[in-house]
Amino acid sequence: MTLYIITAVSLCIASVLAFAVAPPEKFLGESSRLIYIHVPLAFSAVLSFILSGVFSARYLVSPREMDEIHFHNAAVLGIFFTVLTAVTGAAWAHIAWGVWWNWDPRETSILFLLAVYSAYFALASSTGGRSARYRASYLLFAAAVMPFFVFVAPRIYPSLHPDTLINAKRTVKLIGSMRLALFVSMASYALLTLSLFDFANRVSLLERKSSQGE
Amino acid sequence: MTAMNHCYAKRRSALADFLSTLKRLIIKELRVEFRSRGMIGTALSFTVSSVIMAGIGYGGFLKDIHTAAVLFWIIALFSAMTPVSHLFIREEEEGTIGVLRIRFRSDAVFLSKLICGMLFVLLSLLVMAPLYVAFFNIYVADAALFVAVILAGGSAAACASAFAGALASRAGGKSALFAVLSIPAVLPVLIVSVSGTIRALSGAAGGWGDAAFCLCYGAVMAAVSVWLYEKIWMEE
Amino acid sequence: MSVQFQVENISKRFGQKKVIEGISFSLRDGQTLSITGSNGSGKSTLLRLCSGLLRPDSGNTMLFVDGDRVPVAGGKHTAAAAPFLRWYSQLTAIENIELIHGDDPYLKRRTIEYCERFGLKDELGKMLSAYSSGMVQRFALSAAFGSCPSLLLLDEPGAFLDEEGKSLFKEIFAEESAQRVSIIATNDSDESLLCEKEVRLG
Repeated sequence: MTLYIITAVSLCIASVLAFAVAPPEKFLGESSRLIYIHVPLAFSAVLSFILSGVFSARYLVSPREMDEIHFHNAAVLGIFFTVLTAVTGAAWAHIAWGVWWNWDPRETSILFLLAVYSAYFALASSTGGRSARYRASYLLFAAAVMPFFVFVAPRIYPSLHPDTLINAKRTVKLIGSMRLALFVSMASYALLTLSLFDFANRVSLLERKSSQGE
Repeated sequence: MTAMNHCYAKRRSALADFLSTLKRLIIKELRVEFRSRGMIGTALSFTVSSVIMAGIGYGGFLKDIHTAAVLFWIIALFSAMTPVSHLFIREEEEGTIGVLRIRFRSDAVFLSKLICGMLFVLLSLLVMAPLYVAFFNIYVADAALFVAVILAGGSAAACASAFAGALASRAGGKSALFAVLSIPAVLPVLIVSVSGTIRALSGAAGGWGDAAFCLCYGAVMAAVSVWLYEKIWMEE
Repeated sequence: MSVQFQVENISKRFGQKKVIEGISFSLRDGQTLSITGSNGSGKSTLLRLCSGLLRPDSGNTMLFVDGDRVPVAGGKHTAAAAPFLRWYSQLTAIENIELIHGDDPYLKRRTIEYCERFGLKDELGKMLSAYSSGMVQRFALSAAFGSCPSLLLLDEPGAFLDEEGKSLFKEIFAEESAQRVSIIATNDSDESLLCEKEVRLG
């Protein structure tokens, strides 16, 4: 319960910082505030992916029902955040650059995640009840592919993605209040991810207990 | 006297045993595939007809190198993915996987199918490439690099899609499920192979790095897949 | 050479249906067990669980050879003749034998001798797709006995066999069962009488 309260409070603080305190960016204007939504969503998507990978590995090493619930719910959250990231990113790209999609490494990585989750749910619906091992092994397999996108990236078209956060000089090119708003947003979205994860796990556990009780 | 008793009499190294097992499994795969002829015929006819259709549709010189590379790899990847998945799916469909499970280790079975799959993939790509170059009248600036990228990309695609084939065969969803499962794993191969092919066709530098990446990626995917295959080896 | 096979509290459920529940038994070399029960009672499922090919929901199967625990499936310790073990119909009998015993001339020769004893001497060079179901069953039994396993599993061994085949099977079973642990899953009362212990399902 404390987790949910802290999450709610941090989301409120983040919203205030993002929409009231931080100034609009010079060239993009008010639409630049999408950074406080789009970037944390991407962060949540990657966090969910990592969670699903970790719990899949745990399940394969030593099968436990809780780990199965965990990796499945992490995958559900993952596809939710990935779709939102892609949609907010496309909207912002259209506003800022006039194109919906321009195939740079970050966008392609998000599409990759989307492909992984679509495949995961196709596998889940194809196999039904006894498929926990198959689903876990697929998530781990996808996790093994993910790092290669770092090496693949230079071979994709040059990026329109601003290098505000991830760049060679390892500095954050944002002024103080914007930086604060962004990091608070990212932290609050991380808490949101964990809250939703915890909530989904509780629901799944209750569902299992009631179906086994029948 | 049981087999164990008898086996004590022999002092063979584990590696020699493994290689002998691998050899017998590969011979079995080759024999079964050549006698049933289903997979080779289908894979080759898919490849050839795709190239013909694309050629008829385009009808002329393909001067845009980027388009040429992308079209080549779209056809090549689908050709590459078919043999590997078929090797796993056929075993489950015909029920012969039981013999393999009771007698052999999972890594030997997986590697034998992977090696055979790679052989078929490379065969179909080596048939497809000259046809493609001829039908589209493409000028290849660096022929050695072109061949290297095809071989490296084809083997990487086979390695990347093998585990997806194994999963699809266990999950009962067969070919449609296999395509969906293998796409994320094959994406890096597609991107890098297209890049390498563009460099081979245009004569630009850096293509050998692309070929090297494909080989490394294939090796890592094969290693990960061998470990994961053991986890799904038993029936649930 | 001592063999011990233990099954501890093994259970298996398919969907909502509990097929096997809490079965335990222990066998030493020379002992034979029959699994009997009505159709659909789970005899084949229990045999698959014993073979190490099917994962139980709970419980354990353990095989010990000379005091050391060995894996049930994946090596030379277990052999079976069962519907879940189908041989390659695109290969000849000899090629199937070479697949499993290519590295072991003794076992290869032994399997071929059993094939000849089961009357398949002239059919060894023919593909299994050309075999009748009775001949396939004879081949499966020859491969199982010829493998000289520590654990021998048979599911309806007399299926598709004529009277001559059935009596030949019984004769060979009596000879071979002294050296290993053998389990037969069957509906046939004659076959279950070949075994000293029984597990009744359903």
